Order: sequence, then C-alpha cells, then structure tokens
Amino acid sequence: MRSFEFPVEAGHIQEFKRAVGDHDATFDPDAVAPPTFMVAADRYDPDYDRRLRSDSPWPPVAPESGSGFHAGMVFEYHRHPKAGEVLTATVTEGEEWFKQGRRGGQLRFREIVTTFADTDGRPCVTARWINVRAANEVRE
Amino acid sequence: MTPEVGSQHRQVVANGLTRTQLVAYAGASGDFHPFHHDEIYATTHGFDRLFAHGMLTMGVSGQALVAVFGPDGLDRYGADFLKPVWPGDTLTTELTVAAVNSDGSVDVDIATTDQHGTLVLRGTAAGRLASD
Repeated sequence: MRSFEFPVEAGHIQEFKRAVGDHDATFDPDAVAPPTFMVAADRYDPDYDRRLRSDSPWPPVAPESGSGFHAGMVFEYHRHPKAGEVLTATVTEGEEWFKQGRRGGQLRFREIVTTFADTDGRPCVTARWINVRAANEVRE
Repeated sequence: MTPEVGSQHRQVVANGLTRTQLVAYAGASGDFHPFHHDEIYATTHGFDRLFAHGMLTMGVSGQALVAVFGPDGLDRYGADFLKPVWPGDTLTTELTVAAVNSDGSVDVDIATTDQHGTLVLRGTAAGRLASD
C-alpha cells in the first residue's frame, strides 16, 4: 500500500476536459471533476511508471517484457470532487482472476485499487485499474 | 433519455480523432506511454500505427454520460477496452437504460463503436438522470 496527495486543480480539469473532447471547456474555479479525471492523479504519483524520469531509461518497460495491457477501468463515486480540494490517493492490490483467452492461452487479470479520500478522510472515489497479461508471461 | 428501460441516448463523442488529441490526453492524464504518441515505437512493437489510450476512449465516452447524468449524477462508471482506437476514428457512444431502480436511479449499458460499427468499448454505469 502507498499513498500520495492529489490536488484537484481547476486548470487541470479544464485541460483534461479539452483532451476528452470538450474542446471549448473554460476555466471554472468551482468545476466538478469529469467522470474519468481521477486517472490524472497519476501525474502526482512519484512511482508512476509512464512518465519521464531522470534516473531510468524511457520507456522503462517494453511490452514484450510481459507487463500486460490496460483492459478496463471502474470508478465508484461516493461524491464528485471539485476544484480546490486536495485528495489523498491510497493504492492497493485488488483481486486477481484467470480466464481462458480466445487464442487458447490463459489470461491473468489483476486489479490495482486507488481510493481517493478528502481532507476529512471520507472516500470520494474508488478507482479500479484492470490489467491483463498472458498467464505464462507472469514472472513474480 | 428517460428513466424507462430501453430508453436510449446516442452521441458522437469523437469526430475524426487526431494525434493532437492523443498528445493532449497524454499531457492531461500524465500517461506518456509511447504507444500513444510515438509512431515509430508503436510500429516496431507490432502495431500498424500509434493508437489511443483506453482511458481516452473511456473519457470521451464519458461525455455522453455527463450529457444525461449531469456533472455529479453518476454513482458508478465501468468499461472494458475491446479494440484499439486509431487516429482518424469517429466514435459514437450509445447509452441504453437497462434497469430503473426503486430509488429512481437507473442502470445503463454503454456501447462505443467506431465508424465501421466495431465495438471498441463496452461498459455500464449507474446514477440519477439529470432530468429527474
């Protein structure tokens, strides 16, 4: 388990809205975070592996190494965060399951669960990142 | 969309997705995986060209949800990424009310297809319609 802070900034919400198709989104200091905005917390995660780093080559993990692919995502909203809040993101391992792939091999699905809580410790959003990879590529 | 089983909402959520939008999404989300902005990297790793983040497809599909649930009406939004989405693709999201709950909230099925009719994202959502 690990935690980091995620400041929900109005300018970041505007940038994110424009990127997901609301191209004319304007700056709103009271903006409600759009439905998938919590994924952008990764910008504040010091351990996030899809960012430029000064201490390791980029990209750090080539696809043939078996890191898998992002297969799906689930958000549960306890309430919708707004600009100006500072949330605490807590990342934990979720469930793991196996499924037969269409090409015959077995696939391993794995959840990474991130819970976003407000300054009072109340949960706002729970996000489940679902990763999939071939089971025979798994190297613990 | 009305709170009746079978009621639908259909919306074009990306009209000719551009590489620029992929780069904008990389910056906004922080996800700089080279599959989504580096054509040479993508082609040397088995893809015809670069392709959109699954979360970008989920993000644009979310516009249709905001249109019917409002900015804060959703209780849940989940999706599976079924097929790659390529630059130039036009995406249409269709929402269908699958259930109306006793508290007035609704469950909807989500299907996002490309211009060929290929299902690229399938999901579900729940919440209270903005028109309630």
